[in-house]
Parts: sequence; structure tokens; C-alpha cells
Amino acid sequence: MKKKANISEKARKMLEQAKKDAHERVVKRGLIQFRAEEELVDQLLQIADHKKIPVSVLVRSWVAEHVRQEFPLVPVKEIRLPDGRVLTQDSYHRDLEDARYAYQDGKLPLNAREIRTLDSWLLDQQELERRTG
Amino acid sequence: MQTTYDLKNFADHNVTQEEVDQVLRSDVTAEFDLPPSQRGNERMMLVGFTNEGRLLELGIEFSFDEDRMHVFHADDATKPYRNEFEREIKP
Repeated sequence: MKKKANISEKARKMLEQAKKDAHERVVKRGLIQFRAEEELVDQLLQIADHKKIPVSVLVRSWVAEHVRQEFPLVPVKEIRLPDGRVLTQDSYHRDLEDARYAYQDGKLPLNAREIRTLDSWLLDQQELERRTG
Repeated sequence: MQTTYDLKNFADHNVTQEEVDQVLRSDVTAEFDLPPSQRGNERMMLVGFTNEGRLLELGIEFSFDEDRMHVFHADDATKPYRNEFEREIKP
């Protein structure tokens, strides 16, 4: 999302911390609700009855299956380098030294999601450089 | 740093603290400038979806001396914010 309010760096840090805290609270509550059309609810209930399991167990198992497939493809928001620095897309684009460091011959212990994220940041940067000449 | 909420304001607009947290944590949000509070604190409006797809506007005030971010307002997004938000999230 591009639209940013014109607030100070201190307020921005406070907002980022509040967003992280809110994320943790939402995760800890462990509850996701959604509305569905009557026909879909009816079909879900019939499938659950047929399988002799509660509908929440049925839906949770389906969701978990999709999450296992999709989650590895979702980029990480930040990468913690071994020296303690935290690399984000903004800092990656701002600080080429960090970028080169993160890519040094594959010696860093990055997982598949982090490597995929770095690749996408690099592509974004190349696209930006191409546009700005 | 702590986040505080004006629960009476939320209740007046039929918004729960849980819904406010859902908007706060979202990456799909738009921010808007607000004038400073009477005490001179920075403020902003944050607009985003709850998990169920309700589009809310959150009024936020930053109090540095109290190390606190206060959500003083939460309601369904008004038309100008809704329109601006929709423009922003278009790919």
C-alpha cells in the first residue's frame, strides 16, 4: 500500500510496533470467522455429516492443506542477518552493501522463503532502475 | 510502548477491539493525515479491512511522553476514505 501519512519517524516506529503487537494478539486469539452463502453452508454441513466429523474440523483441515502449499510462496517481511542487522525491502534497496552481503555466494544460512524474497526484491529493484533509467 | 483504545467510541459505532486489532495488523491499509490533537500530539487516520471484510477508519494519536499509541476513533470508513482506499489498493 503506497498511501502513507506524513508522520514523524518516531510515530512511524510506534505505529510499526503497534501493528506487530496487534498481529500477535490476533494470532493468539486463534479465531477466524467468515460468512458464507446459505448454499455453501448447507453443502459444507452435508459433507461434514457424511464424513462424520464436525464442520469446523473439516474446514480447518482443508485450510491447513492450502496453507502448507501457499505459505512457502509468501515473501518474508524482514531477514535477520547473522551480524544482527535486519534487512527489509526498503533497506535492501537503500543499502547496496547489505544487498551484496545477503547474497554473498550463498554462504548465509537463509531458508527457501528468504531466498525467494531476496530474488523478488532484486527483481523489483531492477524494474525500478529500468524505469528511472 | 502500549496501545490504548477508546472503547466507548468503538461501542458507539458498533466496532469491537478485536476488529480494530485486525485492521491495525493488516498490511493492506491506507493512511491519511490528520491535524495534531489539542495537546499537540501527532495524529493520523488508518483505513483497512477487518478479517470479515468490514472497511474501518481508525483515528490514531501518538503520545511520546506517555510512550503510547491511542486509537481514539473507529467506525465504518466514510465515503471519501473508502474511495481513496479503493483507488490505492487497485493493482
